[in-house]
Formats: sequence, structure tokens, C-alpha cells
Amino acid sequence: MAGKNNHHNNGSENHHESEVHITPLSTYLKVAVALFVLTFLTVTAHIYESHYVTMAPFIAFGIAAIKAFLVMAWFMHLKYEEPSNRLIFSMGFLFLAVLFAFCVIDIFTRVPQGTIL
Amino acid sequence: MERVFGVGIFDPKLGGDPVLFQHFFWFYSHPAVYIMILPAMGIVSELITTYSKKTIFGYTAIAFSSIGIAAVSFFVWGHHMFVSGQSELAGVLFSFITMLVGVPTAIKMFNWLATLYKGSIEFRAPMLFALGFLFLFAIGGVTGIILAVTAVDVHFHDTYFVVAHFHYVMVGGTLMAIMGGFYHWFPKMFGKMYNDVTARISWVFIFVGFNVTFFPQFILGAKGMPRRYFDYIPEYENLNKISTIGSWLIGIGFLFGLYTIIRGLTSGEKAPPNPWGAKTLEWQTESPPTMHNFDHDPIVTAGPYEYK
Amino acid sequence: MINGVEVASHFRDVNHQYASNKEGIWLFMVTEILMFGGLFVGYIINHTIYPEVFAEGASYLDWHMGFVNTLVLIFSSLTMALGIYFNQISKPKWATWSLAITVLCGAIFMVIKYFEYTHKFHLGIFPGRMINPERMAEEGHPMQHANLGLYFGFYYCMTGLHGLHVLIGMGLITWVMIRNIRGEFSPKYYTPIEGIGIFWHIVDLIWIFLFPLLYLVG
Repeated sequence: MAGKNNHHNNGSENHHESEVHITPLSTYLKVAVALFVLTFLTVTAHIYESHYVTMAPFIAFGIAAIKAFLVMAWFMHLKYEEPSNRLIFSMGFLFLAVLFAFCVIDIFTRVPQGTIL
Repeated sequence: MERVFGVGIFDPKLGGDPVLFQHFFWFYSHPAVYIMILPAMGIVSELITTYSKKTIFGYTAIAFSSIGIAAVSFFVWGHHMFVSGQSELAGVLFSFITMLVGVPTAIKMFNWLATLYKGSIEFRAPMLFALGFLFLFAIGGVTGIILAVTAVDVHFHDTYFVVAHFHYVMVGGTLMAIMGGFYHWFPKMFGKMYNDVTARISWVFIFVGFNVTFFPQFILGAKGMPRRYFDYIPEYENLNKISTIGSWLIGIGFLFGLYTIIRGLTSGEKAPPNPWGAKTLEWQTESPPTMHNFDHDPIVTAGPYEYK
Repeated sequence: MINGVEVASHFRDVNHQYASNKEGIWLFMVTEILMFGGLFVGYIINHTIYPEVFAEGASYLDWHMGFVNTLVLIFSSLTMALGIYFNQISKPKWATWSLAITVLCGAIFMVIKYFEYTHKFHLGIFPGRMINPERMAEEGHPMQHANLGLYFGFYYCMTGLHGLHVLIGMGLITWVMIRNIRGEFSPKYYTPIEGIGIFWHIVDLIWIFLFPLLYLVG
């Protein structure tokens, strides 16, 4: 059994250390601070919501999306991941968008119908 | 949660929408059935090429068609909901996209047919199952397109027509392919040969029985017999009786199959590494394979399914 | 074993195993996104159809508590990432502390959640058809809309499922923390912490959307 493994061991294990990207501590702290600031911003926007009621959900969602991007790119390390993993993860959101789009198309194009009888 | 705790997301009394539930349900469940058929189609590729000793026709097209089927299948779930109360626009969209999925499917079917052309065909049991797949899945597939037409589905929804359709694709499609694959890889898995004569007899009963069982159900559905009813009006009686007899034939077929398998496992002759003269890699090693599959690294000189 | 790391026999080398493991973890995360996302889709659709009902429901939510919970979870995401970072730079003891703080943050989150839930139960606010209008009136908050239960069906399902994931995450982080204390991880091998870390970030991610959508948009 050990023989089998050595056969496949082509000395590439050294690549692992040099390939793996270690995010610096300062980056983690900067991202965390940014997230805190954005959270305060969300709440501030909420306090002054009455000034722009129609835009409120979009602003809240927009800030959340920025926070989500920061978490995904740095905390989840997606910025330095294989492109295939980025593609896989984004598929989840894409299909969610498909579900949402078709449900909305259905629900908001319904026409109240009387019975044909 | 919804039923026990009355969460109410889909409860009309609380303003919820049951159709939304259907969207959620079919969004997953429809792709799930395509997940079931795609591996079966892969098996069919193996069987058709091996037992006609012919290079597969249009390998690239077949491969991309699988991806195409998978991709399109994620956008068609509403075709289960034409009569649910969803909007007309949604119905039109889903109907159109559903018909699109027939295109890559047909590409595969025609490519398999073209593979058979001028091949050296052996009517062993696995090949019979593969040929059965081609015939039965074609019927199942086109009846699916029939159902995709919204106006027709209004009449056929929740009738036996739908039941017949999905049995043709599931049993006539997936199950046939699985049975064929099982016999095909039987020697490789168990190191023993099965008796092809009894396997073929099994196939005859299953194939004939399947059609006798389910073809009348197309007619029953078109005549209006609903699904999920335990009883029916006397007008439907004769076809139901024929259908039942068909099910007995299927049962006999599977009993023959069981006999074939048990006989093969207990007293089949020892299987050589490559009893079918196949070209794929699993046949280049022992039957059954040794601990790490290959004692010597196989040397690959051709693509899969390249027989000439 | 290759270079001190156990490699299963069906992998070429450490890199192959590591890449496969990461891909599997990301595939799992897609299912998590789809599961929570389904609830979000339902929420957004119903919110658009019944804006006043959702506004009334949101009025029972204390955004201060949600705000604190958001900060707690973001901080825990940081400490989770640090739990991996400290192992990457060979400081396992620091990693253990980071992981411990992450679990603690999760616990704080659940405690705040507990207070939120019990307060609502006290007011007679239950999900769906179990909502108690008489109780609500008794407590001085008469129900304005007959289908307020719809909003709270969403509220309890979404925050409940999220809370369940917080608890699961706490359990998993405790597990890797114990493994870390036992010295099972090194700069060459920390894949389980990474996997659980990604899971924990998803939990944080969900909350990042839950907070504004439930507490602030009303």
C-alpha cells in the first residue's frame, strides 16, 4: 500500500506551502472594521428612513450585498480560491435568482378571472 | 412546519400562496428526474457501442447534449403547474422552455441510432435493454412534449396519460438502462458469467409486459381517467384489465431476472477480464478488479468507444 | 502519509486531496444557500404583496438587539478566520483561543435570540395560525392585520433555522477546537477548520441579509 502512494507522490507536496495564500492579519482586521462600519451605516440609514421610504429596501439590501461580498471575498477566502470554486458557489445564487424571477413573473402577471361557466 | 405548526407561508387563510409552494416543490423535483435519466443515458452510450462494436457517433455532441439537458431542465419546473393557477405568461414561458429540452435529448437519441448503423450487433441481454431504452424512451419523451403543450395539458393533467408518460421515461428509460448496465457489468463486478438465454427471456417478458401495462394507460388518460383514484367507471374497465395482465408479465420477467442473477452468482462460470471485447478501461483489468483496480497502469491509445 | 499529512489512496497527492475537499465543501455551501434562499424568496414575494402586514410585524422586532447580534456575528466571523490564520502561521494556542471566542460569540447570539423569542411568546406572538390575538390584545398590542401570522411564520422559520445553524456551528467549532488542542492541525493541514469556517461564514452571511430584511425594512 505504501508503494502505491509513493508512485503517485511526484514531489508536488512542496507546492502546497508556497501555493496556499495566507491572508495577512491586517487584511482581516481591515475587513472586520469595514463590516462594522457598514453595519452602523445600515442602522443609521434605518433611523433616517423616513426621508426616502421608497429607496429604503434597496439601500438596506445594497449595503448587505457589500457586506456579503466582503465576507465572501476575504473571510471565506474566495478571492484566492480556485476559479471553479467561485463558479460553484455563485451557481447557488444564480439558481436562486432563477427561482425568484419565475415566481415573480407568475405571481405578478396573474389576471383575476371570473369563472367561464 | 407548515402543516404542524401552521406557519402559514402557503396558507391562503393567512394570505399565503399554495402555488408558491408548488414553485418551491417543483423547482427541486423537476431537475431531480433529469438527474435520474442522465446517468442512464450514459449507460446506454456504453451498451450501444460495446454491443455493436462501433465507434460512437458524435461523441462531442452527446457529451454537450447531456450538459444541455441538465441546464435546460432547471428552467422548466412550471410545466407541472399549468393548471395550478399560475399566470398565463408563466405557463407560456415554461411550455416553450420545456419543448427546448427535447432538442438535446433528440440529438442523443439520433446519435445512438447512427452508432448502430453498420455495426456488428450482438443481441445479448444488455443490448436488448439498450434497444428497449431507445424505443421506450422515445415514446416517453415525445409524450412529454405532448404534455408540454399547455392547451393539451389542461385535459391531460392528473390523468393516466401523465402516469403512462413518466413510466415510459422512468421504467422504459432509466430502469431499462440500469438493467442493461447491470447485466453488462455483472461479470466485472462478480467475476462470474450469467446465463444470457434466461436474461433474454427475462427481457422479453419485461419489454412486452411493460408495453401491455402502460400503453393502455395513454388511452385511459386520453379518455379521461384521473390519477390517484382507487376506483373508476365501467367504461375504463377493459383497458385497466389489460394493464393489469401486463403487470403480471413484468413480474414474470423480473422473476426470470432474479433467477438469472442468483444462478449466475452461485454457479456462473468464471468471467474473463473482457468477455464483451469492450474498449473502456474497466475491461482492461481482472474480473472482479484487484485491490487498487489496476495492477499495471493501463495504456490508453484511443478515446472511449472507439472501436474501429 | 505524504509529508506528514494523511492522504487517502484515491488521491494523487496532498494538493489533489485538499482541492477535492475544498470543492466538496463549496458544493455543500451551495445547498445551504439554496435552502435559506428559498425562504428569502418566499419572504420577499410576500413582503411585496403585503407591505403593511410586514411593517406591523417588523414593529415588534427590536432592531437594537438585531444590531448587537449583527456585530457579535461579524466579530465571530473575524475570530473564526483567525482560528485558521493562527494555525497557518504555527500559533495553535492562539488559534484555540480564537475558536473559543467564536463559540462564545455564538452563545451570546443565542442568548439574545432567547430573550427576543421569549418576549414575543409572552406577547402571544407565535408563528402562522398559532398566533394569539387575544393574548396580544391583553398585553396592549392588538393585532392590526388578520394575517399577521404570515409575517411571523417567516420570522420564526428564518430566524429559527438560522439559530439552529448557529448551534450546529458552535458544536462543530468546539469539535475542531478540541482537535486543535490535541495538536491535530498544522500549517500543512487545517482543512477541517477551513471547512467549518466556511460554514460559519455562511451563517454570518445569512444573518447579514436577515437583519435588514426582517428588522429594518418595515
